[in-house]
Amino acid sequence: MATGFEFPRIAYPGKLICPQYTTENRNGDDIIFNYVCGPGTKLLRYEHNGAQLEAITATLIGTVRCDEEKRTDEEEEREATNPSTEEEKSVDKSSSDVSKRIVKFIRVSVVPVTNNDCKTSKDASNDFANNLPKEGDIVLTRVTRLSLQRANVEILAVEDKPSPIDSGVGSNGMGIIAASGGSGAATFSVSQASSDLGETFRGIIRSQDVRSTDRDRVKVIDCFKPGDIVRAQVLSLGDGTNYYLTTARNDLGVVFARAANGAGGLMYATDWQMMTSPATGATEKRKCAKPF
Amino acid sequence: MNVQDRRRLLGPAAAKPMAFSNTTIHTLENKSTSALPKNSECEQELSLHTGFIENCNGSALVESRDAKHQTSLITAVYGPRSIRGSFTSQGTISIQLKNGLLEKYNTNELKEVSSFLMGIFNSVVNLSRYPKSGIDIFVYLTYDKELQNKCLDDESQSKQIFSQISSLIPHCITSITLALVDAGIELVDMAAAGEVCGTVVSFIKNGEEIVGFWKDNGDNEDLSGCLDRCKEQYIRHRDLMISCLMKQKNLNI
Repeated sequence: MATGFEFPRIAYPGKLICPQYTTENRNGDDIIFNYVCGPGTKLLRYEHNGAQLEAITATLIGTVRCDEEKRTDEEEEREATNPSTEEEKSVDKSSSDVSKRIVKFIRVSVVPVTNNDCKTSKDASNDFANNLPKEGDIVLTRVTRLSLQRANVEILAVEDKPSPIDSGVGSNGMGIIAASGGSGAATFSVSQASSDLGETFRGIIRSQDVRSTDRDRVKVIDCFKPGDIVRAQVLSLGDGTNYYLTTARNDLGVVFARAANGAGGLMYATDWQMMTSPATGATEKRKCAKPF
Repeated sequence: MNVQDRRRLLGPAAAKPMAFSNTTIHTLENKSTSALPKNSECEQELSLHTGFIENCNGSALVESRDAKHQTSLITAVYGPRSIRGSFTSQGTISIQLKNGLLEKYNTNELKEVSSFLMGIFNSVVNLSRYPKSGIDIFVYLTYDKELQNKCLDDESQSKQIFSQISSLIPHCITSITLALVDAGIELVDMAAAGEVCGTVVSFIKNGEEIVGFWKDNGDNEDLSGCLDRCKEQYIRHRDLMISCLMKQKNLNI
């Protein structure tokens, strides 16, 4: 994409990538490029010859990527109806002989993995930095505990993100654990989160958040059972201990479950609130995720 | 009752993490290329390696050798992983230093250094990216020994007194920075430091900002001269780190 600005191809922490804005005159149109920080970058203030400057700086090692961001119609409308910006535009128009002004938003990010020749799981997993669950993310969880009001779960993975290397240090008996515990008090990994150690990120699905209809009549026990693997969305970071999660969407809910409280075989969803064991034909109630 | 230490429920000793393709062996060998040794007034040789410990998210080995002493330290980075208790909107860093072969430093000294290092890396790591999580850094001082040099005169003998733990701090900072970059943890800048007669100054942003200042009882009244020499060392260490990372991550500028 032609942005009129020469980006460095490779960046390392502290490398300045680009300023916040650049302008270009193309066929009489003034184009303003507004660069937005993506993953692996941060807007930092620098002092240069006594002047304060702001520049987008890399925070990871890897290759630089820039994508144009499409703003939604709503945002454009809001900008258009905002009188102050209109005023500015008209003032600018009179001061310069530019027929049109276009603002383009470009997201700048640093992508850690570069070598395509050896795409092993090890290489991919280096990008776990942005792997922490955040609002809006889809996560895979395991149900640990039920009560009338809520289901407690532990977060196993964030969807579409690789997981860190130090998987299961404590659970497989290898590696060093700090004598005094370190900040995590032992080990945590998203991919092989060890529930024996009880040190995963934990979450809560409140009964109101299980489904979007008839939500005050939800019976948690008819929706989840301990051990079920549940696909859920993060509502908020919650408190110190728990993330708040929801399954109130068709594609969210139980994805894997075993029959008879884990004693039977895997079951398959037959409709949105029923699962069937193919071996025995027994059915159980769950809030199922739409499989496809 | 839930009173037993749940950490004792370990799996088989030989269990390994899942691997999805024939991974590591040759890539690992590639990774351990050594950076070029660099000469300066004290002719200090530095050797940097990253990513050689399997279990952790990032690791670094820093070895340095000059006329008077020889140092080697290993850093491992674990996390970010969940911390319990009250809500923290930012990540928390913990740094632990550990004596290696030679039990040279006592626990108090090491604790002091690690809290100094924590101060530096709290301002260098982009902590706002890691809510509710902790990053654990372990530094293992494999060895740190004085080299016997017969042709030392009295002056340099007396200087040896000041080759205390402060001479180690710049290497700690270098290795922690390397390990954090290797772990893919977001850093505002590559932190590094220089040391002159017991004074350690750590910089970021091309020497424009100081993130750490440590002073032992050495004879350095000329503070600005000290700063300049530390800055020189900082720039050398930083450039070395960048070239080392570029080489070991197979990136070419």
